[in-house]
Amino acid sequence: MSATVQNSDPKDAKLRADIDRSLRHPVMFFFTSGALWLLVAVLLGFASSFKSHSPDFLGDAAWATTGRLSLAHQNILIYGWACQAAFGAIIWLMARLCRKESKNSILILVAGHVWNLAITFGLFGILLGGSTGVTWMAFPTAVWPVLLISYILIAIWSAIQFQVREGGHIFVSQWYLLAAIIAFPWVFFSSHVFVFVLDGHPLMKAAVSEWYRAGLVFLFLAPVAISAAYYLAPKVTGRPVHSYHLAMFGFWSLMAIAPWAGFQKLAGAPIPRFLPYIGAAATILFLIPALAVAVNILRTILQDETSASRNSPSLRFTMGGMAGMLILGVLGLFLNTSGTLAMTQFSLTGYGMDILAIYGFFSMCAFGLIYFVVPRVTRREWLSKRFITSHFFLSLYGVAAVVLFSIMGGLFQGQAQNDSNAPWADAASFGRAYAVGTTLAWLFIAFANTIFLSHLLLMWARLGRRSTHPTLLDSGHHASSPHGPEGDIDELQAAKA
Amino acid sequence: MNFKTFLLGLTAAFGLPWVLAVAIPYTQMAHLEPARFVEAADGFDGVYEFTRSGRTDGASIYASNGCALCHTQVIRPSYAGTDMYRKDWAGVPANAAEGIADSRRETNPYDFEGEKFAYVGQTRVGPDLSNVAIRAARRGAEKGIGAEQWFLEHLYNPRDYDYNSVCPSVSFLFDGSAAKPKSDAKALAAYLMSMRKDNVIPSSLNPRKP
Repeated sequence: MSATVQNSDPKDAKLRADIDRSLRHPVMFFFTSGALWLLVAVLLGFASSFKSHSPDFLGDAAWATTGRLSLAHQNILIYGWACQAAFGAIIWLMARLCRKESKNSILILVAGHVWNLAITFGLFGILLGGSTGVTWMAFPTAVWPVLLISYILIAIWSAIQFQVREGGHIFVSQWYLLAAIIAFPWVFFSSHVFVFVLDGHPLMKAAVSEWYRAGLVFLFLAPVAISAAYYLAPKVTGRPVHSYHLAMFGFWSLMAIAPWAGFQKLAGAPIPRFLPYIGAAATILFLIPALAVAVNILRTILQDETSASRNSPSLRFTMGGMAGMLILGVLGLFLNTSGTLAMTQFSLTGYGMDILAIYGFFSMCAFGLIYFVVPRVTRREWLSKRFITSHFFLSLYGVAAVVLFSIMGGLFQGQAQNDSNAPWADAASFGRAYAVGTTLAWLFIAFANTIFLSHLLLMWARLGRRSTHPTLLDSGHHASSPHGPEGDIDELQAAKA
Repeated sequence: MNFKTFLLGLTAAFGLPWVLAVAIPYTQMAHLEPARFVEAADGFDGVYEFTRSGRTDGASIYASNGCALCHTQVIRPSYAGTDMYRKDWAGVPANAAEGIADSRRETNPYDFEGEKFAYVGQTRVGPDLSNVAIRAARRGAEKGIGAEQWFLEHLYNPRDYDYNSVCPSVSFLFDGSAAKPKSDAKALAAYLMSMRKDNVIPSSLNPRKP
């Protein structure tokens, strides 16, 4: 950001610039390689979706078996894109909020490369037939310890930064970041040990693998996304967060509810009976923190009287993500009641909900943060507002279509499955038209992310605009940035608290 | 809110569900008491041992090809679904003319004996496989072949028997034709055979007969 729109202490401005410079390489590495994996994951999603209605697509090659493509698609989406976007967000946000330069950028960068090598190895492992077949733990078992070690080398510095920060106040964003930093190794390590190391009952291993999926979404990806939203909304509008108490309520309700979720995928399986019930209840109750957070963020953004909410790419994506989170909460309420679970449990709706959580909620918030961070760490502005708008709308329509088709198709399919007198072929054929729709929607998302990746690569190569004006989504130039004066919101938040 | 309260709260919020819903159920299920036949209910006394009707070493091939994404291995009790009533899924209904007793039952924890992971499954794009061996035997008999051979032909090209099936072919596990399976294809077929679950079980394990 240029010097002309800054009205705060020049010392502060220098500190922020130093922090950004210290993190430039790891942050850009995580965002760019994440975006690359995202494109790979989306193309794998397209291929596996295509095969789900036209099984002869890509022939009978072993690597192109529907199941292998689908496992690769889901795992690359999680570990290649979502986790890496989260890492970039965590290290940058924590450094900025603690006002500490990163002193370990080289180590973080090395660990990031190790993470990427492990993912590459895992991808080939799945495609060549070495997968464990456990939905989000499908990489060959040699991969997960490497992932865990590189995670620790990436994230531990942010926890240390928090410990040594000056000043006592903790920002809302920092609660969520800390929760995410702690939740990931806890959920990841204990689940993998329960599933792959200890000698437990096969059914409880399956139950833990479902608990792990819910934990990864609700305790790692969701907190990072919410943290980014709590950072961007006040920062860009220049207003304090709408309600501190609501923020506190939203945080603690998420932390109290989310760790119980996931077991409902095993409803009816012979595991202790309370587990599926408590899992379904927790998934339904997710609506409470979702409402608290969304109301708080959206009120902060929409009460802004400047044009920031309309013009800022970051805020537009953040609002998209908040809408995704609300829809996730509302659908979770309707799809997990004891009446609907029998229908939805083994239908395509589960996949639709996964994509809604990862793309419609988390990724939209992550994109918002990336559009904010990259100009700061590269000291260049985004090249084209048209690229950003296309990325937004193609993503929005694409993910809406995937979710709608999976959930609608899944409901019809689930209803036919549950009609024990109708022939089984009915259940299969009812989902098919919707599977075709899902395939087309992945194509939209593939376009969106080709644009995004190209734009990001140009920024990475420092080919962005050298300008004093941030790239906004309307026409014309601005005397002052709707991204607000740098740093002032930190003081505003502190004063409010 | 200071940092200490924050960490305490977080530990409690994470720790409680981890202990109550993950660690304790996991430990308990790891040491299942053997189920028993009881004279009063089953007509004789004894310890129930589930023996699979085939090898399970094909499980890793089932897993690595992502079969569990489209196939389930669980017959849910009737409060959770209608699996018990779908033809040939839960077992074989009674047939007085042929002297067959009702073998239908829901899945119990002993059914996963010998497995490393219970591939309960994500969706039912394809049918549940709990008793797929019964259906394979029936459909094989129509063609004059055994169940295992029917599995091999079905794995080689699922659309030979079900024109509309979207099940991917695993022809790469064969040497060019369904008659020449590699050892992996045989292992996978044997695993599918092993899922047959119409043995006699203690009535304590089958409280909700259809």
